[in-house]
Amino acid sequence: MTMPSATKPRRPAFSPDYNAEPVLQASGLVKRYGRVTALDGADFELYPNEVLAIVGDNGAGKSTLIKILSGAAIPDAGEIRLDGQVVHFRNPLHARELGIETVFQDLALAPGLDITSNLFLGREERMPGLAGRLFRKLDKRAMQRQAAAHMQSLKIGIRSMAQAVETLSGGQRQGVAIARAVSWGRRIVIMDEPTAALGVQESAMVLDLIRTVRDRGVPVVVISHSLPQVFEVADRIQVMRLGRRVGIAFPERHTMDDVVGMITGARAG
Amino acid sequence: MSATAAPSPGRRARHAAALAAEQLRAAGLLGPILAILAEIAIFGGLAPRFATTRNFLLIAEQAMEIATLAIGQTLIILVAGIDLANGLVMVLASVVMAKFAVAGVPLVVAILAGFAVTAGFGLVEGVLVALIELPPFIVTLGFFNVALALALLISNEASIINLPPGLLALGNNVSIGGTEFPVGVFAMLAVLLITWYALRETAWGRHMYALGDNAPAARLTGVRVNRVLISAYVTAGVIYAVAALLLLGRTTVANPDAGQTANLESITAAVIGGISLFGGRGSIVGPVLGAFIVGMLQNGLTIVGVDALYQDIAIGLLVILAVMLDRLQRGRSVR
Amino acid sequence: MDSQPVHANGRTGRFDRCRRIALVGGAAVLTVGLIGIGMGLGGANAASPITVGYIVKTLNNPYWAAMQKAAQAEAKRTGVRLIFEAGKYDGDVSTQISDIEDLTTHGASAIIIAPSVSASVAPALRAAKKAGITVIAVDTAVDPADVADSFVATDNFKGGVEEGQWAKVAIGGKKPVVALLEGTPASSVNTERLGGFLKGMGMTKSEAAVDLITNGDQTKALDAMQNTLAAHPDINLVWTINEPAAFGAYTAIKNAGLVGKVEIVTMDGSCHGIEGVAVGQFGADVLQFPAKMAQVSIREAIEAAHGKKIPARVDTGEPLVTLHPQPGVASIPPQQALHECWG
Repeated sequence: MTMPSATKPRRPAFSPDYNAEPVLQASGLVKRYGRVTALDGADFELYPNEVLAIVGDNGAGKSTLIKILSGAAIPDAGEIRLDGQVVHFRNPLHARELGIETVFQDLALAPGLDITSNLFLGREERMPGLAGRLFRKLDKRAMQRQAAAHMQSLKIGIRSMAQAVETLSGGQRQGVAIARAVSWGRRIVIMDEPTAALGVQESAMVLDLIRTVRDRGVPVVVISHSLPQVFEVADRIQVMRLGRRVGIAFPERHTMDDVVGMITGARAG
Repeated sequence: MSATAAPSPGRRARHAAALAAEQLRAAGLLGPILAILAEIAIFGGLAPRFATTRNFLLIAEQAMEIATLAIGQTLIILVAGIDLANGLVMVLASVVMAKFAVAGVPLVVAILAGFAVTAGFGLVEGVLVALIELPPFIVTLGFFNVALALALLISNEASIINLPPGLLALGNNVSIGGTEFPVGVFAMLAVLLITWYALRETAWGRHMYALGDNAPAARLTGVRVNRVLISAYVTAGVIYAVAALLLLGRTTVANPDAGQTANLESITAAVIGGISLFGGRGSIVGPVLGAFIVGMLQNGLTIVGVDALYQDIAIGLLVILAVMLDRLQRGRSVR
Repeated sequence: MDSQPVHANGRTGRFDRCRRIALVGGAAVLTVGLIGIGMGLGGANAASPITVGYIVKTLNNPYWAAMQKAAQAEAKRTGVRLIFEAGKYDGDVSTQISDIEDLTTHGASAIIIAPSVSASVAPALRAAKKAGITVIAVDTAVDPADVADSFVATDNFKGGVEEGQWAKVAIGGKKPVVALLEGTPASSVNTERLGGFLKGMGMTKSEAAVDLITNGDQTKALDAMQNTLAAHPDINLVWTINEPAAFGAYTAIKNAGLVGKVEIVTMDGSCHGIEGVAVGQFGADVLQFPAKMAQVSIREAIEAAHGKKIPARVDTGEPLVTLHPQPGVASIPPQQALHECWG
């Protein structure tokens, strides 16, 4: 059964702008690992204000595509453009500097540290004046305030920013990881299987969060195995198969069967 | 019973105490503090001369060398490493300092030479662990032997005696308000204070814990993992040089045969003090408490008149007990 | 919370409860055990009037183990309460210093000590003396020597002289080609034994053909001796600092097929070493009496506790043991020595 479009959430104020130049674009990406060709001339575009889902079977090239777009892997061939300019990501840090934040499947959080520390990890703020410059003292109170404000603006319900991340539920941790990705004013957020380990309620919370991020003007790329969730949150769906993009689907126009067909190759995109 | 009545002072005090206890428990310090109190109660009951200021200061002096080594060891354990060489690196530094001083080199230069040795060892160890990605256990085990050989070589396999008093300064006492305080204990406390501040109040401290807790995560979030790792080993090295001065002050000679078991003793102190051997967890105050717990046990047992062999059994039991209690009060969610 | 949580590894909450109970139970048992050790072993014999603290270098050594056995026997015989402590290894003087301090706090009547590092223990011993405790050094002197009220030990110099005198005669008319296998250069034991040997031989150190450092280690001595024999095949006399060095030297000589052509002299007096003399491996071995040191020192402690004066130096004896007595040099046969050896 397809997901009727009537149950889709109301369209937000910002609609994806398909007439504008893509924020991130890649064409003809090729990546080989030894004798295995993970990407065989893959294309990709991400437009402003959209949630783009990337789907495909195992081995279709989703993870490799994401790795390349986040700077974790270097393509053997192909071109990447950020806001129209050609870019070569040297490493994930470089991609991050250029504005692409990735939330990995294992979240990359330090469980023993509190939420504030995790949000500011690598970007800590020092106290003003001598305390900060000479004694390198952290401005914990300011960071905690900012953290709390930020989490609130994303409507993530956690009581204390001083809680250790390991005391949070899976969904809350996902929220922290996403908040960290979004908090630094990035241009693009990529999420790898954000709801894979979560139950129904927490998945819904994360999908809400994804929408909130998009509504703030940050386009989101989501890899997911769950077509129902994809149909619920995505504006557009990119289908990968055998290392290439085989089709694009719109939840408003296509059915889940259509997309399944593209994934398995039974139907052309 | 008005809901808006202010809580009684007794209630507030109990609430504050509960809060403090919870903070200590979270930091892994509640257990060690209770252990110290228990030891004081038990030994104080068995021997009247145990629970005196003089004896407590004596315990501090007996434990300060291992406590200092344990602080350095903990920095390395926090970043998911282990240091099996620290005792011998300390001894090597003491030998170098002594050899230079006896040869007429100015005291400050001699002491700096010792610091250079320990920091140098830390640098090489850190580079091997961070850049060449060798396991810390193996690296430091190798350097244990290197430091031992160098110490024997430089000292001609004999204790260096008749050292200038300046080198032995940390073994002296200072009189404050009529009581004699060991100077070395203040040095150890200074090391603890500086390390505690750095770990708690600076970005470096956050990075250290993050690195030990989840190194891949730290790397992905932009922490300069290699730099932090190497800095941990170098900082520990500097701390070991302070321990060398404590050793010189206490034994008045530079003895190349010393320090053989100090590595395990410092690890024991850290574990008893609540440091997780997996890294990323534990307060730096814990290892110092752990050193005091072991020192107090040995002191108490000797005062009560227990033979050396049974003391070893007692310490072994203590370590197991400490780990058991740590497990109990921290629950299974923490590794 | 779930009613019966099942964890990722398949265990249920019941397992966790059992584990918790086991942990609490185990912790309780250990705590009681620790307290028991403190009370039981420490509190015993509390009514004894005289407490003696005995500190040796380490318990990992048959020499000190022999001393411990004799000390405990003597304490039992005389009704003295003995507290026996030791460093963790030979060279661990920090533990010895702590032991002196703690025994001082305890209020022992006397402290008997074989220091790992002679100079390091002096400050703590001085404090003990100030508190009225008698200080007796055994086997190894304290530095400075007058910190100890009495020094009970072998006369290492005299033992060395006996070695030298015996060797000089035993070698007969041949010109002595001597190899010296020293221990640790700055150690007083090494200096005295070697000095005595040179005096007994009537030679100077520079007249030795070979002079090596072995630290009293058997393997080091073996390697050193092998290299020596390769370079100086005409060596006919080897002086060794102690029995492990002597055993190492003998193995090298055997491997080189020179048994019977090289004479080995040594000093220690363990039964193992005396057997070596008995079967002809060593020419001469000088006995030490750790048991006698223990007995004499404890008796001195008792006397001092009663206000009597104790001698500053007691020589516990160092007879030479050999299968081949030489005229003019006193010695005893191995068969007799086997009754007096230690270990």
